[in-house]
Amino acid sequence: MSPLTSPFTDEQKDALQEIHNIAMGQAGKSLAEAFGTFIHLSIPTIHILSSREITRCIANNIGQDIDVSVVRQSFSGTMQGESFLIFDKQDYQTLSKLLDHHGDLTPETETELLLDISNILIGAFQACISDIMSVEVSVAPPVLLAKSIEIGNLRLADINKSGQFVMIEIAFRMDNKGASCHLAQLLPNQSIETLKSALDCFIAAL
Amino acid sequence: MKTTVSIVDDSQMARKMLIKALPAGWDVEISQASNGEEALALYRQGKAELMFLDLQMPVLDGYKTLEKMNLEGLNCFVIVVSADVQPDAEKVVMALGAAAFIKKPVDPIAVKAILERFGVTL
Repeated sequence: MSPLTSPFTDEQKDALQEIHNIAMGQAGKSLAEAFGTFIHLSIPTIHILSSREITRCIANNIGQDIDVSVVRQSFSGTMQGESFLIFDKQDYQTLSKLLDHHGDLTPETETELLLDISNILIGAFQACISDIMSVEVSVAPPVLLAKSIEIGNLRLADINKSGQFVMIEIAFRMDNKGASCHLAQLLPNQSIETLKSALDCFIAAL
Repeated sequence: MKTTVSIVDDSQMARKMLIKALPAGWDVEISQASNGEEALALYRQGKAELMFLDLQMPVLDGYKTLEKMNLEGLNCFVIVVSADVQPDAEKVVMALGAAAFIKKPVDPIAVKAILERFGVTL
């Protein structure tokens, strides 16, 4: 799909895929427990792309010309990067009931719901990855990046930034139709070597 | 006599992680498969008194593999190994005849407990 050559060996890619599979399961479980509903999960996909290709790739996977809301949580430490939670469907009334939020829905409480979901999902996801790969990473609080914007206008990275990005994408969909979202984790060029070494350590320990 | 054990997962890394989590000193003959069709072949060859089965796989997934083994008598203890660890995912595979469900990453203590429950001598 991508014209860029993969920085990973087959073995590294297999390990990366499996680690993210496990992390997806943990994140899904945390979300299922918080919302008392079954979560449909998709197998993580790994993309190697340039900054200019990110938006197009996301639109291909989520849907063209749709409106999305996006929460960002950056992480730093042994590895740095950003995780985005891209909501393509959300029913604030349902979510609010499930999380026991009281009072009227205002734009602020709506935002708070998206941030809560992000904290649960991305927190569990990152904790699991750090644990398996033995890397120290701290996750920053969630920030609302965009609310109801057309997917084509999404900018998750500076398009003038050179080099490769690794993007890992997973879909989560609540069975009760509360929300459907995609987690996109972006690792910039400077973190790829660190990731590769961490994967090699993980593989060597098996 | 050695117990025949099949490890079924499309990820080689996942199979390695699982083999590492098996009890040390357990007298087994391990075979590996990377999809459900290969798993069925091992089952038919008698190489799966016990099978560790992943759910999401290409060609034939874990659910369909369980269904097919059911049609052939399910003469095998199937331990489903799943990344999806929601209670509902477990219910589905137990209804399909799995003997146990364990979550990824596989915990050696959990594997040992299940094997002891099956009466495996370790």
